[in-house]
Amino acid sequence: MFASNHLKRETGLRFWGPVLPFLVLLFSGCDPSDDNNADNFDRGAYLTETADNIIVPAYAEFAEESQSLKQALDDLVLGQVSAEDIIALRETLRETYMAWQRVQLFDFGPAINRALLVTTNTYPTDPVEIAEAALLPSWTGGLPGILDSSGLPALEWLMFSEDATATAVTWNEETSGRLFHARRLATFMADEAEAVHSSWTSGYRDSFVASTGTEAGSSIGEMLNAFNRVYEANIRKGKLGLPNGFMTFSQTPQPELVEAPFAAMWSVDFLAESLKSCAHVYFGDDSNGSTNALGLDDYLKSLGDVSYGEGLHDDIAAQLSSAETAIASLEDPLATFVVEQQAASYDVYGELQALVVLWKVDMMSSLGVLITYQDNDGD
Amino acid sequence: MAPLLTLRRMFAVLVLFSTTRFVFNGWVDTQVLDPIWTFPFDGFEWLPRPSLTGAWVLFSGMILGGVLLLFGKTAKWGAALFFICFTYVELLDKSNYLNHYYFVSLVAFMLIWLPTSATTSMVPRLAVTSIRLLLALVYFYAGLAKLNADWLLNAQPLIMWLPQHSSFPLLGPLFAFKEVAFLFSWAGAAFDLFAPFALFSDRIRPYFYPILVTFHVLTWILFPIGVFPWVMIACTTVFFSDGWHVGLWNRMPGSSWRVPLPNSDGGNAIWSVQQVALVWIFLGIQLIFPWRVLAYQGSMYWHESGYRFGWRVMLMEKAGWATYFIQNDKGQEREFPVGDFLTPNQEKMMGTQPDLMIATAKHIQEIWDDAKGEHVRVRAEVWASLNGRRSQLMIDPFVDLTTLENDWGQRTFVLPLDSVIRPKQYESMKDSLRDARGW
Repeated sequence: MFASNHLKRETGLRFWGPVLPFLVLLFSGCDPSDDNNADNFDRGAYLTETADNIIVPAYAEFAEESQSLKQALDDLVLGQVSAEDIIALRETLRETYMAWQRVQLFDFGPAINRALLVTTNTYPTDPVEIAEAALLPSWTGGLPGILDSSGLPALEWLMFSEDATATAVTWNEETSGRLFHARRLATFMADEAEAVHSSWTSGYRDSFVASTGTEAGSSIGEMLNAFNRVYEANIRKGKLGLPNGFMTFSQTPQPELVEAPFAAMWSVDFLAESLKSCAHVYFGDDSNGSTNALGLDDYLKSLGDVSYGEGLHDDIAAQLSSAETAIASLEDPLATFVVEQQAASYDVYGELQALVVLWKVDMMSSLGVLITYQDNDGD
Repeated sequence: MAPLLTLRRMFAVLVLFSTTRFVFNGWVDTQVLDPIWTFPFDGFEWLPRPSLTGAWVLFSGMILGGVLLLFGKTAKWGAALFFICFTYVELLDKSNYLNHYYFVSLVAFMLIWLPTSATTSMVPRLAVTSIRLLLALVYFYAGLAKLNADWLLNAQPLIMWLPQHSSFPLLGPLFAFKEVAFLFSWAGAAFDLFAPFALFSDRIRPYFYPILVTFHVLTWILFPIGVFPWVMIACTTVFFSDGWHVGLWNRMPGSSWRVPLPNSDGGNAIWSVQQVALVWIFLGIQLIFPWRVLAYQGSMYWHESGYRFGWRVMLMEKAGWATYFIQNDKGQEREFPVGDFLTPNQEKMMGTQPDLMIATAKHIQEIWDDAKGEHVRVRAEVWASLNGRRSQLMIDPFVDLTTLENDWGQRTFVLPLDSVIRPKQYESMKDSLRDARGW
């Protein structure tokens, strides 16, 4: 028949024949054994190590620290709080705050679902709102309107608004509601921390390590997008760029915007710990790449001796270390430093800024991680 | 006639699928409704942003258009309805531009005018040829765009993209090898350039079409390019003979698909001179428009002048990050965060596309003027990376972007690709540059 002859000619038995030489060419052109420039980076292993050695332990620690803070508050007896108690509490708060610096980067998955970042560490905190909330018979954590009177900054104000002796006196007054409210704040925070931690251990970790692609929504995509966002907005800008006045017209320092302004002596340590946690994620452990732990550094190095592979890694490693050195030149109280040595704080900010470019532009591009779930025909 | 009939039916199915997919992926929200502000195409700034109701109307219009396009009697109305609704949405925001959206618009437009109904047994030869020429042009221009040093000599960006697919069954381990990226790059360029000739040749086409299917399926699996591969696989059947198409439909179960056999000695219907002229004008524009890029100096991939509407598909890995600074009349300067009014996708696209940077700067000026009643100059520090190069300063960091126009002139504020200024270098020259440029 006229028609079926045509069918045979256009799509008949010969259909797949022409593809074979193409496939043969593909396979014969490259024998895996005689070549060592292969990208043999195992994303599954990388994700497993990152989840098991970094993320889950960091959440476990934060949940544990939050729990001890809650417990310490529960153990106090109204009317019998001493200055020593307050001093001990402050130290526990500091430990919890430090543990927080090590989980803030993982603002995706369970943490995003529970809005952990904003309920735990929104600052500047509002003392008036906290003092008022303390007087309320009931208080519900996590509501959008009370973020700036919640979490670590609110607890910090309650413990530091006066010296330890005066704080103990205030806390002992039942009418102030301070002890009572500190317990509510700490309980909410500890519950949230534990909820995120247990989400990770009861299922999310497994799906996290199983999603080995690089598309938007993949584990690497989610993790690196959160990493870049938190580093850029919460660390670079929040912990230094806002307080030192870089974001204002008049370039006037805004000392009241530092993290932990009432404790005064913690801000620089928290910034240093934040950068350390970035390095931790980047290198896969605390050894700055000297062990076999898989990190983003190994991922980049696996791309080979090219500008976007090993070359980029060298730059990131160098920039991380100069940023660490720069942060070490800051002094607490940071609120005073940004006023008295603003220019020096700008230099430190510049070092932090250089890392944004390396991570957000170069590294994301090298690893081909997509940031938005949308069709794309070539950037 | 039969090739156009197949084209219309398959195209209708694909646009129905593609529209449904778009809606179910939540992209009506993220691309149409969510953005606080958009980058409309030049000359279409007047198009009203659709409300939720408007979006329902537009996307229902696309679905209805697709359905009407399935049937010969209503095909023209369906094509027109789909074309209008689809193109409307695309014109709203440059940051969503995709070559394949543009292609879909063009084909939908042609289907309004071409005779594609099953009862039209005789059509002018040019009707089929015009679609074939458009397809040939898409492949050929996509091939020409690959003839550059990054693609051919460095296998960029495939050398960065392919290793991500190392877990791909069978071929996966091979993607790790640089040789494979080179093979794919050269084969891809050769495929695109050769496609028009192979498709027009009765002798080569039967051998080439399976390669074409393989090529597009592979790109569909490897890259997030949506339905484009399927559109091309479907549309290129238009090169097959009348007899093949008639055979295809008459072999289908059920009689409603049937098409009459072509009248082998009946000759062809004739279009008027005006009709023929319109077709050639349309094709002529498609032929010439992409060449406007020759008018601009420097790397097209970097300055992107004349980049759109030119079938430059999957050619580059480009990432950028723009930080905006505003300065008031007192000479005081501060950073201005753009994340407040741009979606992540808009911010990403703006980070590499100079015309979007100008538009963003002008919008920042308006926002500030509205909020504070204060006139500001706007500059941006943009770091971008192209095809594996390290990030470099992309535009003049001390030019008031609000004074620039998004016209078709040379974008002199874009620094040349070979003038590599890295972050550290910039830090050391920033203060003197600032003074010299009066900021």
